[in-house]
Amino acid sequence: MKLIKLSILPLLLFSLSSHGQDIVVVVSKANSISELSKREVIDIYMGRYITFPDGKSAKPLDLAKQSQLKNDFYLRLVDQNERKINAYWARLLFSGRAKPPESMASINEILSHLKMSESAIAYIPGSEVTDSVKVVYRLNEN
Amino acid sequence: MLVKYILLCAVVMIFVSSPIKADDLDVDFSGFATLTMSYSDDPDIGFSSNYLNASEAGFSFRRDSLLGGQANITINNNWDAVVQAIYQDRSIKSFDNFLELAFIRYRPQRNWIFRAGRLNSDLYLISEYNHVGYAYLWARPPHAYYSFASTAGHYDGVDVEYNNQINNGFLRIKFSVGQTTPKLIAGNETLAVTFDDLYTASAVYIKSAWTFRASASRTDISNFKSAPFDYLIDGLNSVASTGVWPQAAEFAHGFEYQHHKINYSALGVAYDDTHWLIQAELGSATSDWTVIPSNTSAYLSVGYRVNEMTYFGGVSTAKNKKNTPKIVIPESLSYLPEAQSQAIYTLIANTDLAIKRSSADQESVNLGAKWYYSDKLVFKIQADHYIIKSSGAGLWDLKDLSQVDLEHNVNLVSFSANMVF
Repeated sequence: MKLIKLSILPLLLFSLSSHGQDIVVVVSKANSISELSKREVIDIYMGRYITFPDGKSAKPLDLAKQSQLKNDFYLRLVDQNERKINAYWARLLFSGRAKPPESMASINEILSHLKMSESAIAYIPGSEVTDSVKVVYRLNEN
Repeated sequence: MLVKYILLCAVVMIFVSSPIKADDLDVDFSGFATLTMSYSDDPDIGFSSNYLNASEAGFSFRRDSLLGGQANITINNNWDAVVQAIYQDRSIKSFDNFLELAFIRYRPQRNWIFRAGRLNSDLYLISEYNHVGYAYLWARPPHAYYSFASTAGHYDGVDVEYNNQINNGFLRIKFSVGQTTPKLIAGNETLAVTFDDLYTASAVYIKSAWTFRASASRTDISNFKSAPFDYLIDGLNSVASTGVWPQAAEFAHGFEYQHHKINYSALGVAYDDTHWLIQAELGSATSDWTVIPSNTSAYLSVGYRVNEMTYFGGVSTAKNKKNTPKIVIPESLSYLPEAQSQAIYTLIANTDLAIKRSSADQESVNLGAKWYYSDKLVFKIQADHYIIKSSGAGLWDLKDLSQVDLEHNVNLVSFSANMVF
């Protein structure tokens, strides 16, 4: 029982931690983009464009379902919770317009993916930024 | 005709693009399904969710249930393709009636998109995804508005789209040209109509919680296959040559498909914030073809979200503009031999019936709820009450044609499970 409590604790702390802290949008260091506006982040994450403003391919990464960080990111970005985002992507996918962002299981997986892909773009907690990524937009709490 | 449009598009793309390199080839499969049990309480009038599906009265699992599969094929950064097939209770079970999308897309730069192949109609707020119950509010989209729209829900052709940010909102403008030949069964008879040179222009503007939409479309009727209408037109033309019934030639011309065109325009607005989801659309068709007469349709829907539940209610209407000439029975019929006059009386009655069966005049009110169960599954319940006016059952399957002048009141209850996978 003690083991279960100990294993739940980090998850609980992580889930609480995204409230009230910075969420940053990051790309690979190799990406030539140095900054994005909120509107440009919305364009990419809501499937309006499949490229960065400079015309190069943009491949957004998402966190798995029911992640607190994912929910906070979309609330701050477009004021929509995960339920609305899921319905939105069903509309875009099955109307043939766009494919949803690729889903990643953890922040570590996102950071690994960003190291390998110049076109990837992701959101992570500000505290998780490493030398291998570049912050292009900062989502402060609304 | 499809070949013509694809060739046209291919030539354009060859001139504007470099050779296709499949340097990022990737195929993703996905799908959606709806399982609906519905009950319609009037046994005399069959209901189907759209014109292409079989009609039924009473309990039914088939009238709204469907299974869809899709493949997204990414070729490289500029080129991709989408194929989507939907299995549902089509009255004509041909492959053509199940293939919803099959197009190739080219993005020369971020603001321009070209597509060619089988494309989805872009006339209404939900016309691009009206089969995907998970993606919208209702258990069934407003019948008065969306049932007839289904006949031109997809077409074979090309389209070009331009999009850009305007005044902190997102603007999308699209122009398309194509043709489609929906095949359906009306009154136990097979019917196929070809909408040719189907031109559509649409504009959508999205700003924060608001979406505004306007579209306009026009098409020529280039073919119409229907044994009962052929028989009626032959009868009218043969009587017209005798001069006994002066209106016969006019009605024959009205039913013939040649030289007719349909113009359609639609406006839509949606407001979608944290709690409220409000949608309204207004459509107007102008047609000189008696088989698809001019009409106006509209709906208003209001939804309110409370956690995983969304409660909704709405009203809708469809009404044909009465621009068909009133039938005048010639007095001279009483002087003809009985057999001849009876034949013409029958022809007049059939003409009257054909006009009335093509006419829609209905109003409806609905209440319902949507329950977001998981990220893959939602449940819905909806109750609709329809008032179908005298001679206004054009969107319904009237079992007894002698009831064409009667008003019908129909209650329809639907329970549905909508999935994506």
